[in-house]
Amino acid sequence: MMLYLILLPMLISMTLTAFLKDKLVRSRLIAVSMTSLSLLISSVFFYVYFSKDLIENFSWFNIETYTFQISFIANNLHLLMAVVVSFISLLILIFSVFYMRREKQEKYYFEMSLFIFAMLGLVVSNSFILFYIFWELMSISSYLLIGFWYEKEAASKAAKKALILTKVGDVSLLTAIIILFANTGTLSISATLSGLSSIPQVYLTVSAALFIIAALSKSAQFPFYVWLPDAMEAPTTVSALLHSATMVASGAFLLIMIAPLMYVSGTMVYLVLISLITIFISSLLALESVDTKRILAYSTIDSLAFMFLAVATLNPDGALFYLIMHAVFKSLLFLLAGELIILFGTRNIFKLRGLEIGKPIFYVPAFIGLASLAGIPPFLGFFAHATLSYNFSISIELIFMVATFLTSLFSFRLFFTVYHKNGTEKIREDKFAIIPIATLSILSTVGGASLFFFNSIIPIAYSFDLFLVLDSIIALLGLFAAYYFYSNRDFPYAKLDKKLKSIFRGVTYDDVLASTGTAITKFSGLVDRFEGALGEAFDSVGSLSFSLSYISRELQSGDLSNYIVIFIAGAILVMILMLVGV
Amino acid sequence: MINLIYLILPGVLGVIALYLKDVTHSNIPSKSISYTAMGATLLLLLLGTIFGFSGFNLAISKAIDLSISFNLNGISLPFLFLAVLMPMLVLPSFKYDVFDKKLTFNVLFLVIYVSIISMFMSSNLLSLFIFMEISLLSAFFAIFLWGNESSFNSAMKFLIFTQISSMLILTAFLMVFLYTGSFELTSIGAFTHSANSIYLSTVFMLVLVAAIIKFPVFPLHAWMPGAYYDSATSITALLSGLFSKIGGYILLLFILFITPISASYFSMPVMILAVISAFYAAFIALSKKDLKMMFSYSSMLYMSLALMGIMSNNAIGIDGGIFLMISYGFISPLAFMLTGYLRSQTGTTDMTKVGGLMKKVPTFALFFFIVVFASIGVPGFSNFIGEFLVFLGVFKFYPLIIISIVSMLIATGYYLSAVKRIVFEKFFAPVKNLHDLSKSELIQTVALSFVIIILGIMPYILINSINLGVV
Amino acid sequence: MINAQYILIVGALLVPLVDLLRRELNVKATKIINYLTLSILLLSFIFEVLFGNIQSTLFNSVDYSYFINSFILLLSTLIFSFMLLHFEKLDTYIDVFFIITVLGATLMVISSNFLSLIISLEMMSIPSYALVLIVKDKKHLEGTFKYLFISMLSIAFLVFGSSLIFLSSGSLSFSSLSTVNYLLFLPGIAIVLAGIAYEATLVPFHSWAPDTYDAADSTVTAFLSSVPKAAGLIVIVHIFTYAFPLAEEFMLVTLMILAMATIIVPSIIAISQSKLKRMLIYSSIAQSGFAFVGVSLLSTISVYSAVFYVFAFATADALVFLSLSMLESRGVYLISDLGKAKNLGMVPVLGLSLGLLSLAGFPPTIGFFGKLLIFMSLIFQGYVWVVIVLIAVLLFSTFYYYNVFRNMYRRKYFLTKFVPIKSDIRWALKEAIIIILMAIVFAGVALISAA
Repeated sequence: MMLYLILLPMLISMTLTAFLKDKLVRSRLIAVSMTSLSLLISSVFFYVYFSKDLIENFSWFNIETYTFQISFIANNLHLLMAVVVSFISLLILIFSVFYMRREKQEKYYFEMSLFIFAMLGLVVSNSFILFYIFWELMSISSYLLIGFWYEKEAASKAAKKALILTKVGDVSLLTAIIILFANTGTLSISATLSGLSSIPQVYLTVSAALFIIAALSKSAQFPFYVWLPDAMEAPTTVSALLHSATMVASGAFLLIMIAPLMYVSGTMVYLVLISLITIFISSLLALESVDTKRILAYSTIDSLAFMFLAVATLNPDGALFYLIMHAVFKSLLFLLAGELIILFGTRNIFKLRGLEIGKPIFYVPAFIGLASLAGIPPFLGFFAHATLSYNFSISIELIFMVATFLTSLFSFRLFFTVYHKNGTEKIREDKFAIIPIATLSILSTVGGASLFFFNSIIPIAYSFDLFLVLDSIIALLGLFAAYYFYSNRDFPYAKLDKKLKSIFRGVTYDDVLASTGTAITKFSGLVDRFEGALGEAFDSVGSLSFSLSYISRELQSGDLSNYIVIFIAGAILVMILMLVGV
Repeated sequence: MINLIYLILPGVLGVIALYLKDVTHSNIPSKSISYTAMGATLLLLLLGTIFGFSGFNLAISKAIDLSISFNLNGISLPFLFLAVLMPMLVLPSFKYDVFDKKLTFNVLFLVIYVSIISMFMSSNLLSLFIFMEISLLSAFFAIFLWGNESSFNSAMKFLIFTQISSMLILTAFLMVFLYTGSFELTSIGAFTHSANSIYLSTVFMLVLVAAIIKFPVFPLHAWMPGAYYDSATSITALLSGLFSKIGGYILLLFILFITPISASYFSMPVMILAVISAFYAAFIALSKKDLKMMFSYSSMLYMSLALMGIMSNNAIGIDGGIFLMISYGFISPLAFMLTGYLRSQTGTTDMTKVGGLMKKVPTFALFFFIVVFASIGVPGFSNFIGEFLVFLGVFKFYPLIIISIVSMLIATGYYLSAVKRIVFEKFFAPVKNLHDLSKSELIQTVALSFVIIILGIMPYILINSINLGVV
Repeated sequence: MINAQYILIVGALLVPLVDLLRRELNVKATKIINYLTLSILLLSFIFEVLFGNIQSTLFNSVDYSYFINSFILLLSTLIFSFMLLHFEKLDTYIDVFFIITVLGATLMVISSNFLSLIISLEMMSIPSYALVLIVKDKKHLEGTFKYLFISMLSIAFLVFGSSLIFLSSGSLSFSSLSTVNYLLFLPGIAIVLAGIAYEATLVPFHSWAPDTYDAADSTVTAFLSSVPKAAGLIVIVHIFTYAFPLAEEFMLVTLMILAMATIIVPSIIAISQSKLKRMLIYSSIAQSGFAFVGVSLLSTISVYSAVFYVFAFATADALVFLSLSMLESRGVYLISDLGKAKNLGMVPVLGLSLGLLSLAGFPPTIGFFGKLLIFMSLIFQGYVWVVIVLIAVLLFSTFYYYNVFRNMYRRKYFLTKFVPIKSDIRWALKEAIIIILMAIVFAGVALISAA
């Protein structure tokens, strides 16, 4: 029943913000209202189609016997995602009213609307081509938003880097789609998933591998993770929405959605490996960063790796739950970082420390968010860990506990470094800032309880077992360790992060990227020179004809006796030729 | 029912009107006459798509089966659409380079217009050839009369290369005539469609080589950089947007109607060549510092991909190739128009000499983004459909060829570098005072973007007009 | 049944008489004589169109002779009127010679006997020596002399060759050529060919042509490169169609080699020419080669294509040289002069351009259709390699043709719009002639059916 209605408000928002000047109609008003509308419609659909499945197909175009269809799906999984996406988007847009009030309104709200449109479309797509379209649109809106402050060279570079790296994923995704379509004749995701047995194994494996690459690039996992930290050049609200809660999660969402395909392809063991590598790299990089947003970026990579790990251990629904919960507390954390930037003008944790921000209004939500991130009960993260780890084997559980420790460590490093003493300054709070933060904080605190209801929406399994208990204890250990190391900066161990920095400089492999870039440039220069040589070869043919001509001019000497000789010789030649011919 | 002859009438009348204007020294601007003629043709085309077209036949000489016959075959319509609509949107750019002999320019422009339209409508191979030659001759003059200093050499190279390809095509047509006794496409098709012989394969090979020269595709593309770069902006747009399709069109006629079986033998080698050419062009585009050169090689990249699609021996690939050709036929004029604008404002198209244009001329930046996104295949723009269908078709033919999709990555690389260089970061340029797009430029860019987007969202407009079985 | 030839004969006799009368009566105006000649030519054209057929022992009209003769007469009329406009004063004997030359040409075309061939060839070439010498100076004398000498040599060959043929076939008639004793016949025919080929400027019998054509006034060049050449080629066609009704392989090879040489050699030389006239001359020589290709194939199609091609290049040559004449009066001698000279006049420039396009073979000029027909006949007989060589040469020639364009349309001088020359009736009339020729070049397609 007209699922595209979910998307329609965002489309309207895009059009209006593109064409109407802010002075005429406030862009932010358009964006916020339209997003609310989307939220409303999504919720309505969710309610109406609860536990029902509906697939809608539209025929886009056909070529001979092939039909290229656009297909939407309404079931619990997808509609829930739609609700979550529109809800988080709404909160962030409200925050944007405060955060972006001095920036170019139309551009920002247009690009944000474009993004939300794409993300919503992605979660309700049942057609691979539609999915790809929205996937690509998200890349583009991300590119535009990262480059929002385009005059800064850092932002411009980061945007380019992000798009090129995600484009690798896009190309992989497209190839995978083509492979599947060629084998099944349908673009419908649901149809493909039910018809997996008819596809040759080699194509299943190849397409699964390509899907993984696509997911890895979009979700900034190893080896594609380098674009996300640089993407922090974007306005913080953008980071909150795209680069923590939604876009980067879409990689995981892709794998969750096509889980059946992944599980018959035999690639899961590699995914486990990649996820574990990512976890460790990102945690260590988070430990040595001094920029609030960069720390959060690495933490996002870390969290996403958890989701991938869940998928890899055959627990897609657990991954989904974590995805949703992560969206809540991660966006909270980014909004807080944004608040700090607007109010205090810096992202550097040491400078913030110096500003003595100790008010409860700042550190309480931060604590809630970071505790969720670390997995400390009774916050959101703890419950998320419960379902995430359902299928973990012993070895993975052990490794995971180390990961939890690291996560907790860097989270609270951030906390204790920034929130140190209480300064006495008066800060004016903006309501637009307060509402989203408050909402998200509350959700992060009590939201964990939803784990128990979640089963009716999507069947998930969770267990509160020994592992979980150990895990939460370790998280707490991390908290205390962080307190011990970082809250008093004069303590010798506080210099730890500087030491780590030098060790892990290479892990960001910017140099590798740069030299690859140079190599490609050199190669293309070579090709260009070949091209030049080719052109000259053709030119020389032309000059050859000139030389030939100058030589043959001699034939026409002007001397009559010459002519006569030629004449007679010619006549004899003709005679001979004729006679010979006989 | 609109008789196809009506489609060229406005153009012919336009040329006559221009001549009269010269003789009577009237003050009507030449360009108005051109626009009127082209607009009328567009209107007639639209009416024709609604009410249907009827054929036209005028026999000139029975002895050599020469007649001017206009009949639509299964693939005419998309190309006609391109040929009728695009030049009108390209003409305004003449103000960048044409400072004198405006009347002659308009005459040449209309001659090219009419001859190409006639070419796409012709069902008699000989008259098709004649119209093609007329358009090439006019193109030669157009390139060298209003190009830059080295335009004669480039025009000469263009002429010689395309003459070679024309001669090859003529030989192929004559061989077909010898085989079937007719130049008429319908009768030829009936005769040769299921035939298979070395003779026909030779014919096809001749046409193939000719097409490789015309697209152009590596390795016979040496004429292209000079001809595209040295021409006036509007002429480059025509060359890249329209002339490059001629080779593809004739090749398609042979693949679909005349020698389908022979064509299938050549699929593999040509596809490999196309892949090599695509990567070749992409790498060169990556190394170029001049915007116009970059766009020229980019055009070669997409034409290589289109060739790949056409030779893929299945309907999806062929439709994709056609779609890609038409789609890029609108994107590249937009691209070249922007370079023309850039040169007229800053005096250079060198990407190292300008930067940060978004700040000063945001509208230009907007359309530059459209060009970039459209080219790299962002959905919502027409190239995505073309690329998707081509890669799908190619995969169905031989899976490994999908490796060519990596050329898209390289394209993203150089396009984004271009954006970073000239749109983003701090503003600098040889000239400080830049004006954003003027009204006429705006109309051009909006119109072209509109077509690109409409084709991207509603590809069936074009795809439904392609009927691969009908001669 | 008054044939054109009768009118020409009458004219040839009448004109000197009238002139004598004029001198006796001391009337100064020689223009009368000129106009008289012109009207004679015109009349003959009209009568040819009306009553083109002659059948007799010595002369035999074939289907294409009618076409060619009408065309020759039309062309002669046009060229002569141009000459009248061009020269301040035309000696009256020139008029007579012109008539006789044209008469010889038309007779040659319909010759069916070696005797008539020799007579008409002489009738055509001897007066033309005088035409070259209209302006009496050293350069023209040199040209005339070279022409004269080679011509004498050739005619000797022709007579000797004819006698050999007479020996081998027992008759001087063309129709008896098909029943011959080969041993004597072949050298005979070869020598005959050598004898006629000079007029048709086939390599290697062409050496006089560049110098003579160059020395002669451009209007005369226009005539020489169209009418006598056409007549020469047609008569060769005639001979060979009679002599070899079944296409013989060996003949073909020989003739083809001649044709190829005629095409290739001048084309190469033409590239480096800086004088416009010489370049056009070399291209004109190459054109006969193309027509000769049609001859050498000896099939029905190729004969017609050769005839049509002759028509095509003769018109184009006339057009080109007449335009050149107009341009020379504005000071254009070198190709680069085209770019430098001002006020060239629109019509000559367009005439030259169109003529060049026809020579280069661009549609929709008749030059293209001519080449098309030649290619068709080649392909139909399977000589694809020849086609390839021809294409290569065509490309070669493209370069020198288009070099002219480059100079002509060079930007600066196009800017000065072609100011119409102050009303000069003669100029305007000349332009009119050029326009007529242009029309033929352009629209002559329709005449394909005639051929």
